[in-house]
Amino acid sequence: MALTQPRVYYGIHSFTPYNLVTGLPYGIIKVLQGSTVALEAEQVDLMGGSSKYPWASEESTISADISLKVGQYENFMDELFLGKAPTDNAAETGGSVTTLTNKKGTSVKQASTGIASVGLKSGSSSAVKFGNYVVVAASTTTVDVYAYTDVDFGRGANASYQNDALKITATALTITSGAAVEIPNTGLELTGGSGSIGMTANDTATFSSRPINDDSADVVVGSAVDTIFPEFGAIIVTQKLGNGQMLEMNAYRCKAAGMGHPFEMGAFSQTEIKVKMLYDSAQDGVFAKRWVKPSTA
Amino acid sequence: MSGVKKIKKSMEAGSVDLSLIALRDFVICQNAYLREIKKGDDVSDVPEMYHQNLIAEGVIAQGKEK
Repeated sequence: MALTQPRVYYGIHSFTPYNLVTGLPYGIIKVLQGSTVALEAEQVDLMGGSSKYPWASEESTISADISLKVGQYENFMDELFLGKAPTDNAAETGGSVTTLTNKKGTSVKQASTGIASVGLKSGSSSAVKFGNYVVVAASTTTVDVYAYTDVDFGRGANASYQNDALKITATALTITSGAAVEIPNTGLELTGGSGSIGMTANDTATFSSRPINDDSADVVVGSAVDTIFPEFGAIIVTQKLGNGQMLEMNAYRCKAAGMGHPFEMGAFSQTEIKVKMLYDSAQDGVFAKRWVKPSTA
Repeated sequence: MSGVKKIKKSMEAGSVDLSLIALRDFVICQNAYLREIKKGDDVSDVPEMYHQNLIAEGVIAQGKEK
């Protein structure tokens, strides 16, 4: 009888984490550079006498890890690997701006004597940018605005830096009681408080904005009280071979924490995630393998 | 005072005298309105909505109430 064709595995197709309670998938990761399952056993040797070799050997512990190399970042990955699920926002047909919040002092964001609010300027939604801004009281009744990045300055009306301090206002904006003043070329406006304006010079406040968009998400990672790394199951599938052979591994119970965000010039961001495979007492196992060679590819 | 113009404005609670000669440089910049003021300028043309700013910034002095 001739030998059968050797069983080989090739490539990686997908990694699908699933909820341990419901079995529902969190999502699927397909931009994968690798999903390596490592099983390393520690062995304890019995040495003695004049024998240079062990009399016996038994396994003590086995580490079971999955090393994921991925090139995509989905909301469910933040939940599993960063400990917090992002808030996924609905489409914003006019863009959006956050609430003005005092950073230094309390006079800039002030309902009566400062700036009551920052908002979208009517008719200028096309100029709202993906930006993060600082408002600085230049004097008692005027402010300058600074932007942390110019990545989106070209959207709609072009904004520009006025100096190396990243100021975007060529002239300090005058804040008047109850009136709105446009922050030039941003699609945004500041509305003065209801009383006599009287800010403290060099006090600051911050806000951010999003352009007209189809989707967006926000997450705060690292909260001392709101960080949970849930256990999950995972289905790993290798690439289908030309002859139709497929391999699936079902890791019954996994835990992971940490997902780096490498940003390199001229390269797609790819990160490595370490996943621990644990023993699942309900399944009485760590993982299951399923392999098939279909009759037809 | 020579060279100082005073304009009396009547208000419901009485009248207020405003000295409308700029005491210092200042720039009003709000939307389409841009007014560069130099010390000594006559600022009587500045819209009333900005008078509170001019007073707060020390550009003009608020006179005595009658």
